[in-house]
Amino acid sequence: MKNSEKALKKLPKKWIINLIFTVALIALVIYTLEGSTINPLRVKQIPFIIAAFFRGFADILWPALFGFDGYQFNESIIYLALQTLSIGFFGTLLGAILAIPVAFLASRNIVGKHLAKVGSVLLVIIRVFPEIILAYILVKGLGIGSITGILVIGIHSVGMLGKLFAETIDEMDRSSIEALEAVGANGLQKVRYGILPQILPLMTSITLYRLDINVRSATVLGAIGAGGLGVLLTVFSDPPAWDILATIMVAIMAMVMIVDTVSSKLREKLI
Amino acid sequence: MIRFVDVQKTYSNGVQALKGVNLQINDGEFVAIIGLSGAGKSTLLRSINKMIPITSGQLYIDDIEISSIRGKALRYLRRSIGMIFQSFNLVKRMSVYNNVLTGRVGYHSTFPTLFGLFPREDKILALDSLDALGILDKAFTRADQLSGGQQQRVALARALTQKPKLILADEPVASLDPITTVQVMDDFARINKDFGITIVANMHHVDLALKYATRIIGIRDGIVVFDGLSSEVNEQILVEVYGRTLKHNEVLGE
Ligand SMILES: Nc1ncnc2c1ncn2[C@@H]1O[C@H](COP(=O)(O)OP(=O)(O)O)[C@@H](O)[C@H]1O
Ligand SMILES: [Mg+2]
Repeated sequence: MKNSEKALKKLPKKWIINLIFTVALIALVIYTLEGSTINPLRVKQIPFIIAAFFRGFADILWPALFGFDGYQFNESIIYLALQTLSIGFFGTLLGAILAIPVAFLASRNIVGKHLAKVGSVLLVIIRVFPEIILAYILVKGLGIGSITGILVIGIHSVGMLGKLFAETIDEMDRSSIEALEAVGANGLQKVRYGILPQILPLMTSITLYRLDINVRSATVLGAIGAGGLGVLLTVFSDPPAWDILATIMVAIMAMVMIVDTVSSKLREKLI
Repeated sequence: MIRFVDVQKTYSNGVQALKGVNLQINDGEFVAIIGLSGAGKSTLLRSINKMIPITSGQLYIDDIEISSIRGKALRYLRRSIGMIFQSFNLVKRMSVYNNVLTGRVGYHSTFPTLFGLFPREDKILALDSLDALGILDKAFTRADQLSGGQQQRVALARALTQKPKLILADEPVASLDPITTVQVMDDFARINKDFGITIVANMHHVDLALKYATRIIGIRDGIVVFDGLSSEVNEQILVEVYGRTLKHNEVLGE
């Protein structure tokens, strides 16, 4: 047998793993379908609901952007959209601030392999804990409002931000720190000139990306009482007021698009 | 003046990198340290600014014994010694100007430097250093946008901005192409002559060492086996330093 053929034999047998995954996936789909019974009456309604939804777009209620009867400006769609935006923004800021110490705890470079495991596990727990459950808990405990939304988003964001921050710290180039040491810099000066210029732009970029995600989830979380625009989705969907729902949709799309554009433009600048 | 008295270095894994080195390097000299990879060149060079602490013996810089100094005194020592690395060691995401300005951080208290505040003289000094190396026009470019040769010049400008009396260079041209190598070595020669700064450089290529340095220190297995003028180096001495005859292309550094 040629050497190359021997080496070929030693290649990892990926197909076994692939097969296992495929079988598991099919089993999961079958299992899920079995559990759900489909109500034919409801299925027949789907086209009508979709039609009603789009008809809503035809007669969008522009004045609702600025206020509803009896509740003028304070509860307008624009006001609540700005509230959602602020919840997303301050939630992200809180998340980024909380993520920094956790990231250092999860960085092998800083605390060593073993302690970093502890930090990573903590981050995994935060990441997998469903945001919506956290929101239910905090709404129950702290009441309905923006502060609750900010806390939910802040805490939940730590999972992803902390992980990506830790990676940034671990991929840091140590050679410039060595140069600063040779120049006679003290500890804080090394951090200021050797570490921050490397990690700050990347961390800001990661945070902006997260802001994108958070503005979207701030909208949904509002529906269960975490402040902002989402509450209108609950109020006007039972029974559905399609014209108002469409107006809210337009506001959400505009908001998400603006945040998306601004954040990606800023990120381009940073990297 | 640098003086090694029976300097030994044993790493924590037991490797004896320096086995009793005795040397004296005078102000204004251009010294090249040559030897095989692993001979102890970097250890010798880095012990001078205490980036690597020695295990025993004495090391004097201007008659101050440095193995006992630490903290502020150590930082004052380091700020008076420039250091050049094989891979330039610039802060890649920072502008050339800001990189060069970091040559001054050792001269100021923490607080102003944390806010990026430097006196006007420092800023002028940084720009003068860039000018001296012919890269003033790159001052506001990000460091990682420059070629290798230009980056090494930025590193040299950073060292000059320290107003050092001595520059240590660990394989300064090992990652540069032959043409840039000559340009950067010319810069070293100019800095040595014009500013009177002592240069101690680890060199990979014997021919470059002989061309630029006035004095050669040959080191083998942690022992200084040759110390003399470049003009005194001959075939037999190279055999002693490298343990074998060099092939023609090795001498030429191709
Ligand atoms: N940090 C270290 N820990 C342990 N051994 C080291 C370390 N640095 C260098 N050495 C060893 O010390 C010897 C001299 O290394 P070095 O000074 O880097 O040589 P050179 O620069 O001439 O290649 C080598 O055997 C090397 O493996
Ligand atoms: Mg070396």
